Amino acid sequence: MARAGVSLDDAVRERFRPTVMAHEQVLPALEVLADLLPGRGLQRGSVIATRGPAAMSIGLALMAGASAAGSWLGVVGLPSIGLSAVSELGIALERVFLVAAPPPQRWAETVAAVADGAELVLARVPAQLRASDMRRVQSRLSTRGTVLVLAGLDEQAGIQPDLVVGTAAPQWEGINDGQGRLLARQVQIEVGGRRAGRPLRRLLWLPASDGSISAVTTITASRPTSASGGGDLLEQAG
Amino acid sequence: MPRLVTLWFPQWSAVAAGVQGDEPLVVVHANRVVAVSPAGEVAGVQIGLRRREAQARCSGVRIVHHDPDRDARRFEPVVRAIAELVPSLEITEPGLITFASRGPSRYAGGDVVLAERVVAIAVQAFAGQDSVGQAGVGQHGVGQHGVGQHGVGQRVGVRVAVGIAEGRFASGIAARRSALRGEPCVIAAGRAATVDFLARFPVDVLRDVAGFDADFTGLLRRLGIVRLEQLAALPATDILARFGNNGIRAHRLASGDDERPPETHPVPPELFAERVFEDAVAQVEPLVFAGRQCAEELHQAITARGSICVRLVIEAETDDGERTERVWYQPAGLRVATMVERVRWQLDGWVRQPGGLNGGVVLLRLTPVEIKADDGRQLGFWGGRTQADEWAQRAITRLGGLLGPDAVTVPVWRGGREPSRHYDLIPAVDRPDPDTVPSPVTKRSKRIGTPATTPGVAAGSAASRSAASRSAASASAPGQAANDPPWPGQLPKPSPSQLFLPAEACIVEDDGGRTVTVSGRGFISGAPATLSRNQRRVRVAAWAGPWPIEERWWEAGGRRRARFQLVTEEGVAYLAAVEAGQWWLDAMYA
Repeated sequence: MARAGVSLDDAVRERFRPTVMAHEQVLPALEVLADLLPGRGLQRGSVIATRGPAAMSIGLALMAGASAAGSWLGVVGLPSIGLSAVSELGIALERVFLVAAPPPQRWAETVAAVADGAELVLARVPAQLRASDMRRVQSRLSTRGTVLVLAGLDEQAGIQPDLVVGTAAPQWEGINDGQGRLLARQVQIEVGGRRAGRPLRRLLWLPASDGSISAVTTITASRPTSASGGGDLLEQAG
Repeated sequence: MPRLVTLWFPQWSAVAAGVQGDEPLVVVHANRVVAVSPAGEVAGVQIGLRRREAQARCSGVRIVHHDPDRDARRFEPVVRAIAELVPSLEITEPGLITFASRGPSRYAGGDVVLAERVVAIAVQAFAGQDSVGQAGVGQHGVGQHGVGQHGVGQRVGVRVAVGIAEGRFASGIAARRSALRGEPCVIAAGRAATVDFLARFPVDVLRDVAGFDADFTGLLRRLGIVRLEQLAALPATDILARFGNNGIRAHRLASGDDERPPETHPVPPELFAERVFEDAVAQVEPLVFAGRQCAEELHQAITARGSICVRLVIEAETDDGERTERVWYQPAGLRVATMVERVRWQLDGWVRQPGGLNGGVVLLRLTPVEIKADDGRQLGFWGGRTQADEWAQRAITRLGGLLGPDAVTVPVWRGGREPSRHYDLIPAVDRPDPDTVPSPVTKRSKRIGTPATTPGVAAGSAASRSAASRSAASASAPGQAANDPPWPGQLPKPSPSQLFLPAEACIVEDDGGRTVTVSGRGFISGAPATLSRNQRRVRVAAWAGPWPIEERWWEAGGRRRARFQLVTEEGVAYLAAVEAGQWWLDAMYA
C-alpha cells in the first residue's frame, strides 16, 4: 500500500519535474555560507561531509538557515553532541530529535527512516559501512529531498560526498595565558567535492564574539594573527 | 443537550502516588510539579512550580515522579465500582470520568442523591483498594477531604468532586466548583439555567476546562472580554471574523451550547480493529503490542477520512468469558500513542484486579464510537502545524518501532553548570501528544513540561506554543533557553559542541613536566604547558582558568573541582577540569 503510494508520488514528480523551480531544490543556508555553496544553499538529496578541527560547528552552521526556516533536524548516533552549542549555532532545538546509535547493520535503514521525517540529518558513519547501504541511503535522500551531513567524516571507502567542507587553522580569540576565556574563533573554510566547482576558501568567525557566524573582513584576515593576541581583532570583528 | 455527570478527583496523580495522611507530597514530571497533595497546597506549592521552588516553599515535601501507568492502575478499581452503578461511562484520563445522568439519576432518585451516592462509591472503592493491600492512603484520617457526608470519605485522603450540568463544558466547570466548595455541584436543568450558571465565570475556564490555549483567553482578556457572558453577548459573525473557528467554538460554549453534537460524524459500522488470539494471552505486554497494531490500523483508516477519533471503546475478552469494556474520551482526539496508552491502562488494571483473571485474553477490539473532522492538524494555513512537523512526527513514531521507544529523544532545557546537564533528553515516542493529553479540568497540570515530548506538536500547534509561554518558558520549550534566567556558574558562550561522556582522563603538565594542580584557595601550581591525551602530547598555546566549581557541597557526594579552558597549538579548544589532582576533559569545541 505504502509502496504503491511512493511509486505514484515518483510518477507525479517525474511528470512535473520541468516545473520545479531551482530554488525549491535547495534548502536555504545562512547568507555568509550561501556564497560558498553551489546553488547558494544545501542541494536537496545531497550528502555533505565536514572535516577538520571545527567539523561539528561548520556542519551545524550549514544547517542553521534551513532549520530556522522550519526544517527538522534528525541527529543519528551522536549522543555526546553539545546541545547548547547546537542551539547557539542557530539550530531550532524544538525541531530536533536525536536517535540513538543503531547497530551498524541497521544504520542505513535508520538513516532512511530519519530522512523520511526530517529534511536535515546529521549522522556519524559506522566504521564498516557497506557501499550498498550508502547507496540505499543516498537514493532515499534524493527521493525525499533530504540533506545528510556527516560531521567529522574522514576519507572512507564507499562514501563519495557531494560536497566536502573542510575546516583548518582554527584560531581562538579572547583567551590568553591564564586570562580571559574562549570568545570567538576564526576558521579557514574550504568547500570542495564532486558537486562543487573549483574549491572555494573563506575565513569565517565561527562563532564571532557576539555569537553570530560572519565572514572575517579582509583587513583582519590579511593581518597575521596569533591565538593569544586578539584584543584588537575583536574590536574590528564586533 | 445531554445532562452529564463529571466525576473528578482533583490532584489524582498525588492520590495515586500514595499520599500518606496529611503529608505534603508533590508529583513531578520534567522537573515541574504536576500534582500536589492537600497539605502541600496549604504550604503554598502550586502546579507548574519547579521542583526546587516547591522544596523551597515546603521543606519537608516528598517528591514522587509522575507515572501515568500508576495513575491508571490505581484508578481502575474506582472505575470498576462506578461502572456497577453506571454501565456506560467515559474515562477521559485517570481521575476524570463523565457519564450521562439520565438513567442513573432516575435509578438513584434524583441528581443530588446520585451525586452523593457516586461520591460514596468512589471513596469506598478507593478505601477498599487500600485494605486489599496496596500501599497508600493509610488509616490515618486526613480529615475533611472527602466531599461526601459519609464516614469513609472523611477518613481517606482522596477528594472527590462531582458536577452535574447540561453539556460537557458546564459539567466540567460544575465539577471544579464542587472541588472548591467541598460538596457536589448540581446545576438545574434547562438551557437558561446553564447559561445563568456559566455567565459569571471568567473566560479562563475555557483554557482550564475546554482545552483552549492561554494565548486565546489572554487575548480575550486584553480585549476586555473577561466573563463568559460578555463573550456570549457578542454576535457570532463578528467572533468568526475576528477569531475564526476557535472563536466560534468558544462562543458556542459560552452561550451554553455544547461543542460535541455538531462536529461529530456517524461512524461506519465496519470501522474497528480487532485481534483474535488462537492461544490465549496472559501477559499485558503482547496485548499492548497487538493494541498498537490495531491502533495504527484504525488511525490510518480514520485519518483517511480526514477525521479523528474522539471516543474509543476498548474491549477485551478471556477464554473464560470475562470481559472488560471501557469508553475513552478525548476532546482533542485520540492518536496512535494515546490509544495505545489507553489500551495499556485498561488492560493493566483489568489483569491486576483482585483475584486476577481466570483465563488468558483471546480477543482485543478497538472500536471508535465517535469521530470528528480533524481540524486540529490541518496543514498550517494560519501558521499552525506544517507538513514538515507532520512528517517528523511520523518518522519519530516509526523510529520508535524500529529501534525501541527510548531510542528517539528530544531535548528539553534543564539548566545546570555542566554542559552535559543543560538539556534533558526525553523519549519522543509513546508519549501522548501534548494537545491530546490535556483534557478538561486537569489540563493545566498535565500540560506543563510535556509539550516538548512530542516535537511535532511543540513546534506547530497553538496549544503547545501557549503552554510554552505559560510555563515560564523553560522546561517546555528547548529553544527558549536563551530567555531563561542566568544559571550561576554556567559556562559562558560559546558552548562546546562535542561532550565527552563520561569525561576523558588526561594529563596536563607545566614546563617542568609536573602535573598542574590547584590549591584549595584556587592558586595554580604552574601554567599548563602540555596536554597529553591518548598517549599523544600537544603543547598548550593558550589557557584560561581556574574557575572553581563547588557542587552540592552540602552533602557527602559533593564535588570540588576547578575548570579550565585549554587551547592546543593546533587551535583545538577543550574544556577541562582538575579534581583531586586528576585532570579530565569534559568537552571539546569542535
